[in-house]
Amino acid sequence: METSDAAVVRRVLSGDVEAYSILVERYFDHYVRFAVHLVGNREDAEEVVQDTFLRAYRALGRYEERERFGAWLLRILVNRARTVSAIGRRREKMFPDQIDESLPEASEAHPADRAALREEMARALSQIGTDQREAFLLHYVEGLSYEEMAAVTGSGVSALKMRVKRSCERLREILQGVNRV
Amino acid sequence: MPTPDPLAAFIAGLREPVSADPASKRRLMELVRESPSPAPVAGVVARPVPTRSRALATIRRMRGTGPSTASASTLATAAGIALLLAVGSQERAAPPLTPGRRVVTLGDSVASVASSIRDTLRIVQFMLTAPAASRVALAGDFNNWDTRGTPLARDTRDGRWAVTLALAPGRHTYAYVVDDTQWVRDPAATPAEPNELAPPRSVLIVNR
Repeated sequence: METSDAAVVRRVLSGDVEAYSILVERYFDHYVRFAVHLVGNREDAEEVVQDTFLRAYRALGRYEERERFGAWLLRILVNRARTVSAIGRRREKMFPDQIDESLPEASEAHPADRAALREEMARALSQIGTDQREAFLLHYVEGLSYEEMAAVTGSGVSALKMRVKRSCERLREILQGVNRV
Repeated sequence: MPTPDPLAAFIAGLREPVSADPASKRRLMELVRESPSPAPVAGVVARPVPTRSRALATIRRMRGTGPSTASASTLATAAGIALLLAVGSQERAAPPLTPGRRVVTLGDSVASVASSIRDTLRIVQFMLTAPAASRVALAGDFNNWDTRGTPLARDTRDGRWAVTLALAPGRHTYAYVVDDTQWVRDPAATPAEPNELAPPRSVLIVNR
């Protein structure tokens, strides 16, 4: 039987530091996927997720079992990713479209290349605003309800619905533009 | 034949699993081992005021429907009834709410009249002065951070908004959501530890 997150947290708080690796194995890969799409590249994503887990560990005494550990972690992650975006650190690596506008060519030249597809996804996501990208990913990729998104982002449900709607409209425009080339 | 939505395929691509570099996880655990051990953090203790027997009767009826399992609307409705009963006596005996104090515990513990302490619910009134707001809601761990399920009622005379809930004893964190977008920490309560945990929150400890 799998140990619950709350039980693992209790073990860590009682001094079993190694038990934290259970939570790392449970959530790290999943949240790297989220972070990759949010910040635009693997290197920054893994760094942000690593930082998130470390901050979560240091704040573990404030974790409350009423809340899902994954949701608590996601809230920290969203905040860290926002900070990275706000600072604009290594932005030229995060959003390759800003230095290279040749997405359709890249996609056309390597239609079966998964790396090219990933690049295409990153480029499309980079062309919508940070708030819209965040809301889109939380809703459609992470599968969060708007209420859950509100708790994670600190934004209201109405604003989140509008961001998701606009992100869908914008992404359709971008993707249809790519497909027409 | 209809054209497939390019967004659907795009989302499916985004959902494909990703495997992180195992070295990242190893490095993370090294950093964890080097970090000081995490410790629980204390919050503020809510102020209790005298009980009302009919409010307690309402709370008794709620027993077995704890905040962790009851819907926010059920809780709010039940608590609202309890508040109404309690306020009936407040008009005669209780002083007006202290200016600046936004969270007031109105009810006493069922524990005072029952043998079980752990199942106790307490009546807590949340209050925020926001005369310019169109809507104010309460979001907290007790309602799964639902930003719409626990609206505050407005008193048009002074711009105060209030709602009353029945909460289990323990530490709760919460915030007010003004006009659906702005998260506001309770100005009269202890802020939750400033860290990366958005949104801004306040801490309330409900005594047994």
